[in-house]
Amino acid sequence: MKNGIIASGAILQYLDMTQHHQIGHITSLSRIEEDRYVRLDKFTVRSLELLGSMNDGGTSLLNVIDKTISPMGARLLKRWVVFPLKDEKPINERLNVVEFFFRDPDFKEFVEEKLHLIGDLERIVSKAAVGRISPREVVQLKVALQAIEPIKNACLNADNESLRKIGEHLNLCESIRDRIAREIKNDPPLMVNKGGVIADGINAELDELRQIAYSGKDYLLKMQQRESELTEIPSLKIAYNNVFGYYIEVRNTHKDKVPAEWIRKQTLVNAERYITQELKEYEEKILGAEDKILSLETKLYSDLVIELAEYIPAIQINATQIARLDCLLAFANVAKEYRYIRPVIEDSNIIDIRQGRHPVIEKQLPVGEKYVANDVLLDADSQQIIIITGPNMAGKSALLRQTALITLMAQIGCFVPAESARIGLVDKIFTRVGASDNISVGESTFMVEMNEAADILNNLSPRSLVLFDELGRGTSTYDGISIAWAIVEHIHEHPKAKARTLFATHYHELNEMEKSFKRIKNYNVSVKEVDGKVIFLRKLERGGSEHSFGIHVAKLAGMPKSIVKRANTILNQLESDNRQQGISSKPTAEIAANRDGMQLSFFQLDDPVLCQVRDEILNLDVNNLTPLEALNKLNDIKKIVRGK
Amino acid sequence: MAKDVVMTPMMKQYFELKEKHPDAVMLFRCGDFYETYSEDAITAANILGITLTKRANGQAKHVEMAGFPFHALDTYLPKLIRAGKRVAICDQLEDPKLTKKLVKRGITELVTPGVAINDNVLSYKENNFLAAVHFGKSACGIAFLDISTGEFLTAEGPTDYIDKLLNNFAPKEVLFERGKQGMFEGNFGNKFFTFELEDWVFTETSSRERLLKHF
Repeated sequence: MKNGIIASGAILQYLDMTQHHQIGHITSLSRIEEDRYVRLDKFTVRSLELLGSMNDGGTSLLNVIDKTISPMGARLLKRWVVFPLKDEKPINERLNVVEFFFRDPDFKEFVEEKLHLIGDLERIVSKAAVGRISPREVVQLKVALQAIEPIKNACLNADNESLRKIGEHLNLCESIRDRIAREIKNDPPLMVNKGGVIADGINAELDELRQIAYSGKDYLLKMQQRESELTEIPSLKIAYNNVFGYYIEVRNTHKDKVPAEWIRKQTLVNAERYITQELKEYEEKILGAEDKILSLETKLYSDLVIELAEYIPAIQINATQIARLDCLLAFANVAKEYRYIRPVIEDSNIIDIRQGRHPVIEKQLPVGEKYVANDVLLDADSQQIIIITGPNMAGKSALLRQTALITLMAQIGCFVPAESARIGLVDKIFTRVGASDNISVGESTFMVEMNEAADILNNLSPRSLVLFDELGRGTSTYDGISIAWAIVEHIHEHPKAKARTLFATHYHELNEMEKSFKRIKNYNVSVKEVDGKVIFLRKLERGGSEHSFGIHVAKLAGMPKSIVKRANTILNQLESDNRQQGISSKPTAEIAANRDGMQLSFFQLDDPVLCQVRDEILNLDVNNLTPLEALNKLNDIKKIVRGK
Repeated sequence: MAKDVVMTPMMKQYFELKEKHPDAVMLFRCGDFYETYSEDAITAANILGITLTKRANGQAKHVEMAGFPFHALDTYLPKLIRAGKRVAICDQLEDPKLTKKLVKRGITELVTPGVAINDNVLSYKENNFLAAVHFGKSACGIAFLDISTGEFLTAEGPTDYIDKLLNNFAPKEVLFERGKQGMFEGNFGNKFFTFELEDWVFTETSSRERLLKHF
């Protein structure tokens, strides 16, 4: 761990440099144990859209399942999503708790209600360590600690081992909690220097000073009454401002009644302000008391914060336990709201998902449209590799991602969108999905793709789950097919690692592999063709598919008709030639020849009217035409175009 | 930098402090205001949208200045941090009432994107990690710290594992040894906010000592 130690030390030294010396809340340094978590490479995190969407405005898995209440929970959940577990026991512990919440809604609601009170315990306590905690945050801390008590009791009584463990770890920190409750007023100001933080009856000196300040003001009121009677000025007022302190204000109408010993301080448009000896004495007493109150309150408050600092480790443990509880509660709520089920986690190499759904896409569908659920079965003995073919837009990519997401969710300890799921633990999830080029770094689309594929093949393990979506599409067809074929073969024939693999492709040639490799199975996402139109059924079925319907999709996308038509012709020709000659020689030269003289022709447009116009013009003998006839002809053509 | 600034006693103090963190914007507490001078003022005025003005500085000389009232620190500081600036906060260290001479000042905090405690800078749903990367001979070491929660983690492994961790934790600031910029960007890309530290920081003895001192 030499390098890790150096890096950690560097961080602390950097804190020194940035003048952060109060770091008592950094209580431990822990190693990230790589071998406890599923290996997800960064491509996978990105392409499965776990944390953020690849497109602006898209939704990620985290967005869908994040129903956490406290900020600590939200932060922990984010961590959980990118660090799925790979051991059966901890996963089942989490699932047990989720199930418990699910079965005991009263308990869930009770905990939920209390969780709302807790707030950002973790950050508040860190602020206490840094000495920057505000009185309001101290009160929030107290509220949180008070809310923890019923949670602790409920957890201790719960019929679930993990919950009981959480309950045991929760520390009520009673003495500090009660001290806060006793000493700090319930609705304190944001900053200590505003005063009014410390409750009455805590410090005798403080109470006395407050008495003086308060009764002093009382006294001023009496004085105002007395002076008013003495001088017979009914509108006489005693007031305060920052410049002159306390003063007596007299309206100009009564100016002549002012006693001679009053000292004039300020003249306003319609009033004059005076001070007297007596008033000044009182002012000093009151202001002095207020000053003292402030400094005393600040001192008492910092004493409290110092004691609070001793509870930091305990409160931090509380925060992590609460975060855990919050995440599991969120899972239970997600499961209930979106109809998820508990997956069966087992130590095998099977993935058997019945009627699985894509957790994110399912939420994006317009109201009334139902997500078509699909079964996926992968197991290392008979169905290790599934080759999925099928038209564009049929949902191959969604199916691939949904399988990975369901596996991943199961290993986070979350329920999954399916009717039933048996997940044999996965230790690595690899994906090679979608195209993302890295032009800025100087890598082409294909290079990126090959890099990622190489990374996958070099790191395969028996328990890996591998997803390839349209591998090899970034290069010429034959190169692509060859690479794809070789990779599938490699995974199938790998002596040690029988990695479970889903392979979506448009290379129907790969369907041939089923015949020669026994653990490769062909599936297709079905469509129906009715009157030349394609209906997407989005159902996964056994067997390969013949067509990709790419041209159909192009038509849907609004491609010009002429292009669609031409593409269809080329396709037919290619396919028929293909049948005759096998894969090896595609008569592209012939295709190119066939388009001679047509491409740029204006009349290539398939409009019968235009064809007629063309014929008219072609049949003209310009040499035998008088100007008048020419004009008439032009008129005829105009009529044709007008449709008469 | 700013050689034509006349060295009044306060400006002298300013530049002495500024020298310690030349790469940070320095907020210089001056009575009820935090002020920035010279080049910092131009940067700050741009980012914060506050008026850039001038301060009379000796005979017929001016220095650029921009500032805001001290209680507005919570509004303006996050803006600077989000703009990717490092900010040194320089406070008055003694009560101006008690001294007749120039008030003593010192840097009380250096706020950087990775080291932030202020609620306005932090996003409550995310950790705010500071990371340090050390390139060892055979493997790479990494540490993550969220000062706002006290979480402190470390790991070691080949660069692709470190790359993965960097992506998963998404630190707001990454530290590495001076002169390793090319190595860092080659391995982990250039989308992180980075800061280079002197190489003596990344030695085993100094790190070990610092860790033992803390724990």
